[in-house]
Amino acid sequence: MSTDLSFEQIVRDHQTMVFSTLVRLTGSREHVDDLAQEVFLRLYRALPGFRGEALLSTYLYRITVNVAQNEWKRQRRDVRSTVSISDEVSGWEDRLEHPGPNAEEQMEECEFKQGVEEQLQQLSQVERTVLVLYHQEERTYEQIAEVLGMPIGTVRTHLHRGRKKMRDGLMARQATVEQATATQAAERRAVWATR
Amino acid sequence: MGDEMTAEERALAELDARLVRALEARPAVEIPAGFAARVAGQLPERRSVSLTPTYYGRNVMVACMVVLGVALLGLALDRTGGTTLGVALEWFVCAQFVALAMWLGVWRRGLR
Repeated sequence: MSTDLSFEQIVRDHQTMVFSTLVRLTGSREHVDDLAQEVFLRLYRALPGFRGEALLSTYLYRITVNVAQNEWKRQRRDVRSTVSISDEVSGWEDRLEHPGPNAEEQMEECEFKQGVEEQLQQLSQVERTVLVLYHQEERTYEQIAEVLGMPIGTVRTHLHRGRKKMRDGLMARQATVEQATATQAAERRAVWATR
Repeated sequence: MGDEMTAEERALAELDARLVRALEARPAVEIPAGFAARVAGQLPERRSVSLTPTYYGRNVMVACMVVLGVALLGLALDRTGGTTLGVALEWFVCAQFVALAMWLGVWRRGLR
């Protein structure tokens, strides 16, 4: 009973980290609580073998990354068999906190964040994991290397390559948006000129 | 040209900063109420592990020492003990007896 209670405390202490990491890594909020539950159940099963050489959080990150990897594999299987019904635009209006004079800026920021999430999902699994652990979870190179079982130099390489790919992707996206806006404006001007 | 490059570099730096800011922001997540309790409620039963130590190895070793002791005694009383084969056998059994005695001594020290 006391084991369950102390484990409940462990869950409470780490649930925000597990949820947010899973959301970022899988790029989906669907099934995230099932995945988080699986993470903690795996942790519980693994605890008797936990000898305390690593921090519990490092151990938990490793399990979270493994669960996310399984989810990627599952998603890839689903994508092959069905048409994607991504909800990439849904809900962004709700995230605009206060419509007001700076609503345009907020919308632009929201679109930028959406672009970041999209670009994040374009990266390879390992690049995405390194970026999320480094930036969002503020892990050190050493900790990431331990979680992923790779040398620190490789972690650095993945981090820089991932950031570069994201930057290039965002610039390309921005250029496309600007081009579309310019085309729309030109069309609008043409319509006005004909009136 | 120089100013143009600087402006480009500035735009890149700004984009980098925005990118890092966006990555550093944790996505808003909704954790279901009572999630921790639900997980704790689904934990599988853990079998209680017996903490009573068993001494099968030690008992076997003691039994072996008794057997070797009896064998040594038998060899010592045997009249044929003076032959080369008898002496060699005696030394062999004696060495085994000493090795077991040392092993038991080390094992007992390990228990403390």
